[in-house]
Amino acid sequence: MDKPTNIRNMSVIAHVDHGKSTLTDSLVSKAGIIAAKNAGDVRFTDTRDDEKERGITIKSTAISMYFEVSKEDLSAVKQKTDGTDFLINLIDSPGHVDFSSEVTAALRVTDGALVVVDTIEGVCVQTETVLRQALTERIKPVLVINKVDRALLELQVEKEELFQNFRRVIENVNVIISTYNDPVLGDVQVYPDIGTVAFGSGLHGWAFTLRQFANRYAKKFGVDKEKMMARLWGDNFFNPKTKKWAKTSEGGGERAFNMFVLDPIYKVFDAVMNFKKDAIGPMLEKLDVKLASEERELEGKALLKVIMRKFLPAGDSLLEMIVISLPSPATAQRYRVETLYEGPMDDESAIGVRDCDPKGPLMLYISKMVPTSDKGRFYAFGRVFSGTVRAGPKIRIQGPNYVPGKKDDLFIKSVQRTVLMMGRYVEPIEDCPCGNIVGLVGIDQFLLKSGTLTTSETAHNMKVMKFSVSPVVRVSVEVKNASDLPKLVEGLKRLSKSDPCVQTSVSETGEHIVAGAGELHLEICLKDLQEDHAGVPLKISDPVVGYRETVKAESSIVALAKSQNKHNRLFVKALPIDEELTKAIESGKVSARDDFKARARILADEFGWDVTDARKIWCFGPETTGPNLLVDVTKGVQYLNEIKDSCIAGFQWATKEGVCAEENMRGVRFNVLDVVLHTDAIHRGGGQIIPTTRRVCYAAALLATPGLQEPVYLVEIQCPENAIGGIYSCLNKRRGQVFSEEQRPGTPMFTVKAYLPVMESFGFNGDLRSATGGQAFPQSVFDHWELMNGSPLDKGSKIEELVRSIRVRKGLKPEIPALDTYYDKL
Amino acid sequence: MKYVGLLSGGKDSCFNLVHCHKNGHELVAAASLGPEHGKEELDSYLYQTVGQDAVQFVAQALEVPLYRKVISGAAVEQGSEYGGRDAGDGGGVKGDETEDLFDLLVQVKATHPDIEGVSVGAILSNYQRVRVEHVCRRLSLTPLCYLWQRDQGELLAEMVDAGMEAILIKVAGIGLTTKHLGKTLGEMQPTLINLNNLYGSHICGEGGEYESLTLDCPLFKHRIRLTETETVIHSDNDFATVAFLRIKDAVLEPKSPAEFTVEPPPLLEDEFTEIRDTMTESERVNSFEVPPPADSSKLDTFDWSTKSQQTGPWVTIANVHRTVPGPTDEISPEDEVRECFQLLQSSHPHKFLVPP
Repeated sequence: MDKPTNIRNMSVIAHVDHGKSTLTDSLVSKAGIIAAKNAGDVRFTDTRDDEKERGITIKSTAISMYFEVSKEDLSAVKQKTDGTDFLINLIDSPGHVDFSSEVTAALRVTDGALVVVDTIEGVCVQTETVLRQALTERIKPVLVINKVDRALLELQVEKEELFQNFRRVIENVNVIISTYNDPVLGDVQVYPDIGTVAFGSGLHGWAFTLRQFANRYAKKFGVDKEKMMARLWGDNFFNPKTKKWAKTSEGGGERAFNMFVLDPIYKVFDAVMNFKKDAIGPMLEKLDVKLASEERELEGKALLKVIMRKFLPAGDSLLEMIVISLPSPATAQRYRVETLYEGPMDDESAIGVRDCDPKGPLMLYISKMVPTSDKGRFYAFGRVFSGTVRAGPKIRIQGPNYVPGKKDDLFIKSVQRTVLMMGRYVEPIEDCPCGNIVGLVGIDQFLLKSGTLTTSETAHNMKVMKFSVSPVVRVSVEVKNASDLPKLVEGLKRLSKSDPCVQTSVSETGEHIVAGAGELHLEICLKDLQEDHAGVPLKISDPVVGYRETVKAESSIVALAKSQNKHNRLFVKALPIDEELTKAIESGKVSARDDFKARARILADEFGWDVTDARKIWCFGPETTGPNLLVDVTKGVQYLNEIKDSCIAGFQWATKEGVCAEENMRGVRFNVLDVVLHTDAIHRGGGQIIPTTRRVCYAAALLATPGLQEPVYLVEIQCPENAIGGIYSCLNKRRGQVFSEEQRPGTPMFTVKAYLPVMESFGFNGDLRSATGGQAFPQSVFDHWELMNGSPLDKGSKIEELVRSIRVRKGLKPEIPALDTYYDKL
Repeated sequence: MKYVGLLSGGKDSCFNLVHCHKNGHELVAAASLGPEHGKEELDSYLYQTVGQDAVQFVAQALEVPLYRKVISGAAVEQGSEYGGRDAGDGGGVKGDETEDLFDLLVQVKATHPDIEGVSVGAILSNYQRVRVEHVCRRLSLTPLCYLWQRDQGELLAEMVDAGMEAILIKVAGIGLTTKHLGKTLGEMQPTLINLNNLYGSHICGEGGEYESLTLDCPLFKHRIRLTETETVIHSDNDFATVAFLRIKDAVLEPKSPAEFTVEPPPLLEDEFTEIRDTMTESERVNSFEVPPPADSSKLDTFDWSTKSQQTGPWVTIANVHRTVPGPTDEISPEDEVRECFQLLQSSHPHKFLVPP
């Protein structure tokens, strides 16, 4: 682990149920941590009871493994290496969308990703999501096409059909990769003929890349290995009679992939599954597979498993692919440093990270907290990007709100112990140099969820992770026995630590709120809260959805508000921001931290803004990053700069708690048209301007046809044809809209895609199951915010009722305040 | 000197009187400007207008005659400067509320021709200062402003310590609500300091955050006790409430004269006293010890000759100047340059190729 060039940090990512954990097993078995014969059944990385019960991964789990490459293969490694032994740090991540924050946390600490795709189901919605996340983090993918055994045993497809299927899957993956590709990363599309695609079966524990077959045949044909690999894929045909290669199948040639790769596999399957005992013996000899005596007695699938595992061991081929194709920390940090580090690229920390220098200043990013067996304590889990971390010396612990030079969110403490995370075990180690993934003991109480650890006083923070899901579903919890309240409060604290995405808060009315990405996520969180973190019986409310307040038109008249001492006046208009720009802000493409000139250029070129206006954006809000803008369009106003800070504070407040229901605002631009101020500085301090700005924003919003946006899921449902009717009726009842329905080529399965309001999604899975006889499997991802019909100002409308209920829940007056509460007459 | 106190009834104007007393001035009359009867809130730029009904009680408590005038003007001139700059006849702005103050002081001066000063409770408002000074200059009066530019946190603490008892009678600032009306300064002190930390609002209410009424003060010969008050909400704007307390009736209660001390603050704060001390110290040292004359011999020994050095492909040249002290004004720049080149060529002919 002291050689950064011989480390590979990688995460396993995929759609739910495409076999990540099972495949990980075969890798783990290779490392000797679990017995080879159990691989595929144990799911070593699923450490929690509920993970085993449900058969899904909930938390990402890290394992460190040691792997030795043969000398010949080492030459294929296109980057600097040092010796033949490699350390592989692997993180198995959950596939269910609700837990994709775990994926984000895993991706941050790794440099490569093993993307697993099911042969039959192909590329699914979550495959795309995780791939996109990986590429934006500048993580290099390699592909495994999993569950090939199913195609052979269940669907009985022909060789050519299987080849076409593989080709289609790879194409689909490459389409996604090229869409989100970062030019800095180079071409990271995957190709079987250069060994970045593997095929296999996690359950049976076998897998191969073309490299292995090329090794076998290169000697036989006497050609170079690399050339052989290229021939084994695509439109290369071999005519066994003439012994000639061709580019077409004319003249009796057969596709090389089918002939040299699939044929032996098909023969083994055929012989074993059809009990052709006599054919097995010679075939094994030919394949150079030796069976132990008791293994010869096996029959059917068990025998198949043993033979295939010896013929094409998954651990070897995958680890080999990982070592050869994925970047080492030394390689990866050189191009990742820009996306990882917030500070200037030429300070000592940035240089340490760039060079992956174990003697540089310590830079360590904590991506998540892992609960320990000691209740209430956590391992801080993260990656050392520069320097070496060891127990003892004092280090700086910088939380996400730390600003260089200030003392907020900063602790100077020492690490008590450093450990390696090995699935369900930990292994204590003395120190840990850069490039490695590590667990730290003793700093959990200083960090909430994530943070930067460093020894350099000038170090800025590592960039905060951007989650692809947001906590849109909320419930309030209360204790059944009032005396348990302290335990609940403590439990909520622990819960919010243990999950990167969950949010816990106390509302003004004293309710304890837990917010999660989806129903399943919340369910797991609440179960943890009840059983683990708090350990007390809880009453849990029905889930509620967060809304966004917006405006639909420009303010009909200029809104005016006077300060309380009546000596200052603000004139503001509100108008909607394009949905595209709103999304660009939310995705971080346009952000508050950009250089204002560069940002103005983008706004003018891509979103049709006036350049002068675009340069005068005062701030984003809420939380200084949200999709609302405060723009100064005044002309020659005195003292304006002096009240800017107060205006920003008032604007942040107003956008955080909108006028209709105190929900966040979204997509609203406030133009400050004019300002009349008292000449004396003391009469226009924060005490006067902050409330005035807030009022004028509210008045402007009320004058600009306020509207409400609700979160909408994209639901992807896989089902057989006869279940489609049930899906439609189920969606229709819940305001769902189907926008795509296609048959998966080569399978009887249909994929239905629909939009479903989050509000209506509670209990959807259950309903769908009963409506389709359990044949349909939905996956819901938060997709967008949708404007709701009607205006909250119309008395008696549905939306007004909704606003009223939110206000009552929050303990506010049920009616939206009248305009003249905020609007002052001149 | 004898002076007239401008009274709003608030804490600052009363506390300033305490300071005036401490400095040996004698209060002979009080003057106050207020809105017309029946109007209670004007949002004047210059004057505190709430609690006017109580000003007469304050004057009675001080046992001085009170001169009142109705504010008839408005804030015509809202800039940071006011009126003409000539001392004599003034040049005030017609119709401005500042002129009401002028008229009032003229009236006071007519009755008490011996007054020389005017006590003003302004702390930070330049707006007030400029206008009061303008009026005073026209009337040849001296403004007495002991609170001017004091640190507000310190000042509030001083008022509380000195035994001032004042209550909030108007709130119009962030974080202040109707429930704060009628609270004393002592009770409000933590809240005010907290609001200052949170939003930067002024602790002494100088930005118009709140206004106060003094019920008791070391100078008072009687105590004021409010018997009937009423809370009036001027504008209820959700979170930015403006409300005030209407004083309907009050009585004066006798009180035993209390001993009091008010420490006038030092001229300079510690930090600046230190600077002043070091400055005077160093000046004293400098004035006594004449620095030794520069050693002229050193200058002569210094090597001023033309030098050059070659490092890799680079050549550095230094100190190229005429050595012959000749008449400088008779030589043209061209000649001078030429002379320099000659100098270079003669001293380092082997190193450079100087263009002819």
